[in-house]
Amino acid sequence: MNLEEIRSGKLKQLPGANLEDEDLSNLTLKGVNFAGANLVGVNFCQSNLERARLDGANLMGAQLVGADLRANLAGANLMQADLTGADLRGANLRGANLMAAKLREVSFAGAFLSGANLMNVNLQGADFRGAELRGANLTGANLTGADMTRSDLQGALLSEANLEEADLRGANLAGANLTGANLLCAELEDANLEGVNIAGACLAGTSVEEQV
Amino acid sequence: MLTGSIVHQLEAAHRNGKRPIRFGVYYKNTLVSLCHALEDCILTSSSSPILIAAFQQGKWYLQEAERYAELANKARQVVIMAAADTGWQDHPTSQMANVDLVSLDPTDPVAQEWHLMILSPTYTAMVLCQELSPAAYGSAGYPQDDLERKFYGLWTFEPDLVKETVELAIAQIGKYNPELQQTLTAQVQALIAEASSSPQDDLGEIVCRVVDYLQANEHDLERGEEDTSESSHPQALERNLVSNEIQAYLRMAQLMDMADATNPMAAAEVVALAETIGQLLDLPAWQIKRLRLAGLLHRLEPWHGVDRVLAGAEQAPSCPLVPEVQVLRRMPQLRAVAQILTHQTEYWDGSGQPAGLSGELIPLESRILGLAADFQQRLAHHRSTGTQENPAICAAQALAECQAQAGERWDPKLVDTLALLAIGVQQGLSLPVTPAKVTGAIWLLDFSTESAGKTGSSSETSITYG
Repeated sequence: MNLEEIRSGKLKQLPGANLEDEDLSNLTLKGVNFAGANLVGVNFCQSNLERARLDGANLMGAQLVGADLRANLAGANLMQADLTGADLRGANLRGANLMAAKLREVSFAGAFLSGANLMNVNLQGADFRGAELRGANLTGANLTGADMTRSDLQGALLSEANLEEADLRGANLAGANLTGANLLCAELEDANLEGVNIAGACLAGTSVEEQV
Repeated sequence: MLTGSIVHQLEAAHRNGKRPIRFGVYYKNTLVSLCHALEDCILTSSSSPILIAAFQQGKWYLQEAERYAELANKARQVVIMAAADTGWQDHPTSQMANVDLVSLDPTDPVAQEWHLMILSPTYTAMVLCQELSPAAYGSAGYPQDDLERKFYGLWTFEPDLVKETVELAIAQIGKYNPELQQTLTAQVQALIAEASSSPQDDLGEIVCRVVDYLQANEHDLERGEEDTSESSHPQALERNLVSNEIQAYLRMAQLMDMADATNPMAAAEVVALAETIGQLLDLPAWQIKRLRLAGLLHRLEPWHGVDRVLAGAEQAPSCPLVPEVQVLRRMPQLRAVAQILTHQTEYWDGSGQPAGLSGELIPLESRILGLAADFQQRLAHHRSTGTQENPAICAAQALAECQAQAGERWDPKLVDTLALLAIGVQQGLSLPVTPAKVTGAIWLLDFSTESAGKTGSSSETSITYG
């Protein structure tokens, strides 16, 4: 594998390549095809991966701090990856696995996360405005103060999730599982709560406290 | 919310109104500092308040009784509500002529509430909270540390809301002491009459004190002071403090909007405009976030007055320090935002204030914000002066006025971007104008240390258009 050709931008077609633990930080890798590649432990910090193909890639434990990941990450494995400050606006993360990933200061605005696995992940204050999270697994996730206005959480798994002070104005929570979730002072104005399972959830300080 | 509690009564009164009450979560740790700050403002205020406090139990009042003697010396009336505890009547503060104790029935929902209401002709503030029931802690369990007990409610400086709540409290007091109810009612009436002719205390100073007290608490947590060392969740406590520091500024900005009858949505609209411009320029997510926070705060009095303060200055050699601008710099997380706000009044041709910066030496976010705010103000002006039946005409007029100053006051390329946006709006593009959620506003501050360090100097923020 010629790393210099990748770094210089000559080599853009790398589907299924093995780049385990390689250093690809601070590079412009716009539109590069890494589909299905082995990117375990790879260092992409501060790299620009806009419109890159990372679908089905294995990015387990990868370093993605500050990377521009407005890319195709469908079905990617991002377990234990460090995505601190990464830009995931509008990214395709359908079915991606983000368990135990570091997601501080990540922006997921307008991202597609249906069926993604975000179990027990720390997403405090994360930006999910307008994101599509249908059927996503957010069981036990920490979403304290997260901005989820106009997001689509239909059928999402949110049991035991912490949504304290989260902004869910205009969100679609139809059929979502919120059993045992903490919604203390969450904003639920104009949210769709049809068929939501809210048994054992804390609803104090919300607009629906007295209706449920 | 407990039915019949003051928090519940206030919420119910506004539930279907224009501005429903929004609640936030507060640790006891935060409430102690917040209340001390708001109470201590009484001591420096130019007028004498009515102070009504609810302490849940007499023992919590006794912890504060010495301080309350000082406050009672300044206040015209102090009322303490709590479930009686032995000896609480005997404390010297309780014996003062203008201090009245109301012994709450332990089954009264107000006995589960923590309130501080300050109503004076020149200064209004309140903290209105209810304790979370032990069952509501869920799987996390009831906290071991007293300072980690959770409350939910609101705090505010809004005069109308404070007055309304004081009236609810007086009605509650009437159930125990009708005579005191009458006295208080008469005192409130007299006070309201005084208020109309009194200049208000400086809210900027009050906000500074709130931020200072919360920050002092934060430093104690960091050092693991004795009374906080048992906390098993110092990060959660710290986060709650920082969240309330930013809330203090946001509440001040909110009051600015509310006081402007012709343009009450300025903050929300400027945020939507600035963010959309940022997106059209393909700015990174962290920079757009910072722009949003700057937009929410863009109208704060200190910056509003920047032109005026500097009008007398003959030369601006480098960037003079406008004392008011320093308010925001008290929070390290807000220094970058303060810089954006400081330079939003610069002119593209270098003839602006406060530093006379020109062209791309003006931080990009300041250029965007200045233009978005000016456009929004012009738009609001046209809407309020008769042509509001056609929003497209208002937008076209406002845009034409901004375009007339392109190259002189505004960055011409940004004016082009604004024009694109205005065309989009005319064709039906709707900007996501959502009033800020003040509680939980902590998300706004989550910049990584690295990106927060990018203070918007020209070299780092100059971007290529295309």
